[in-house]
Amino acid sequence: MILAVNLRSAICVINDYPVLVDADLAVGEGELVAVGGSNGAGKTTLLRVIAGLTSLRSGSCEVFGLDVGANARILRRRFTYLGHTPSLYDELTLLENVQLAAQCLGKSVESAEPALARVGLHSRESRVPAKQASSGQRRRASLAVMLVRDSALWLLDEPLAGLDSEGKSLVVDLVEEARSQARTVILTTHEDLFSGIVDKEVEVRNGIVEQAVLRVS
Amino acid sequence: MFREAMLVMRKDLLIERRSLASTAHVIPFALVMLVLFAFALDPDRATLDKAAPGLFWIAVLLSALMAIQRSFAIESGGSAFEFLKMSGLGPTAVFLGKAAALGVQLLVLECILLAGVVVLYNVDVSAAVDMIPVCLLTTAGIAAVGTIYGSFSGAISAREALLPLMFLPVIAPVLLAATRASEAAIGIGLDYGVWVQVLAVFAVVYLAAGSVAFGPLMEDA
Repeated sequence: MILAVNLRSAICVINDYPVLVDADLAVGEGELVAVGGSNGAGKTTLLRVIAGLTSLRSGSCEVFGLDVGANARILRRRFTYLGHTPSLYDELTLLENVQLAAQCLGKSVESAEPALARVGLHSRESRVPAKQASSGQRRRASLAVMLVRDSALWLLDEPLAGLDSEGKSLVVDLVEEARSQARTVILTTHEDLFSGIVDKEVEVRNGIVEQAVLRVS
Repeated sequence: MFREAMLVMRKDLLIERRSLASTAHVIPFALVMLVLFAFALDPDRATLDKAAPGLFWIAVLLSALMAIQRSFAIESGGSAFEFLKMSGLGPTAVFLGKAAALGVQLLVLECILLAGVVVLYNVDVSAAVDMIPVCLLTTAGIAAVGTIYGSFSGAISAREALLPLMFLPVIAPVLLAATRASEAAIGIGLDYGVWVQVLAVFAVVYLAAGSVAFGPLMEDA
């Protein structure tokens, strides 16, 4: 199996506190992996390490066969990281934020409106400045950013946070769709909504990564 | 890279236009400074005339500090800097785009301050043409250093206090050259060409240094 993510013996220390301890994680291309664990267990750090946003004390992290630390810029064009807090510019409208994300990758601004419509933000709502949008609308806009980026790997940190039940169903639909399109998805969650569709469940306990394969792809 | 830099510049200027931070804070602050300098030196008109170029550039530099802090505050709000990091844009393009946006804001500020200097300090308007290269090159230097240290200080919790401590010593040679070139431009100094060349060298060095250093700084911010 070709690996999308290969984390080996990863040790991550933040403020002298070991957040990841000798962590190993292998995720094949097209796999859907759910990462669980209590608050502060190291789930977010695990995703940030894969995204190259947090560096390792030792060990290695490869994405699509490339070392994340050395190839961050190339790799970031191939994956999308959706953090806890939607990364949007407050002064720009939701539409402008999504258009900007598309333009950054050299894609057409025309792709923004269909993406926003797909996540339930239609013309009027998408023209609201991000600072005036609700947390759910901001979360939906960041999902639209993810759609316009059209990445091979999705890293979703608690993608259901701040969403109503309709929004949560939307995320589950998008993730299922991504899986059918052979995208690799790694998401952290406290909820069971993905339990029927994930290939692998990973539990992070005090920085230690424990894996259980649920489905052989 | 040019396309990416233009994208970042347009984004910053659009945000600036929407928030009106410069119009609401930086420009009034700079004008108040000019007025206070005029009050302080008014009894001695000869000193005020001689000091006008230096006072002008000090007002620009101190106002630039506010503009730099604003330029990086828009990135830290709502974890937007992560948007930029994850965008796939090259760090050199981000640096040049942010420096260009800061430069445009500073040039607007300088135009307003120049008008203020002419009115308050009674400076000869015919010097305006000679001031154009001085303003352009000095602005390039300030914007480059400001963008480097703005991103650097973004990673530090007490950035408002530390930015001036890091920025002002590095920009001091530019302030000196800009003041000398401005004095020569208004006819109270010598060697206009030499000082303009010095400003050009600083602008090129700071822009080149920023283009190289911004990548690691952006990752740490």
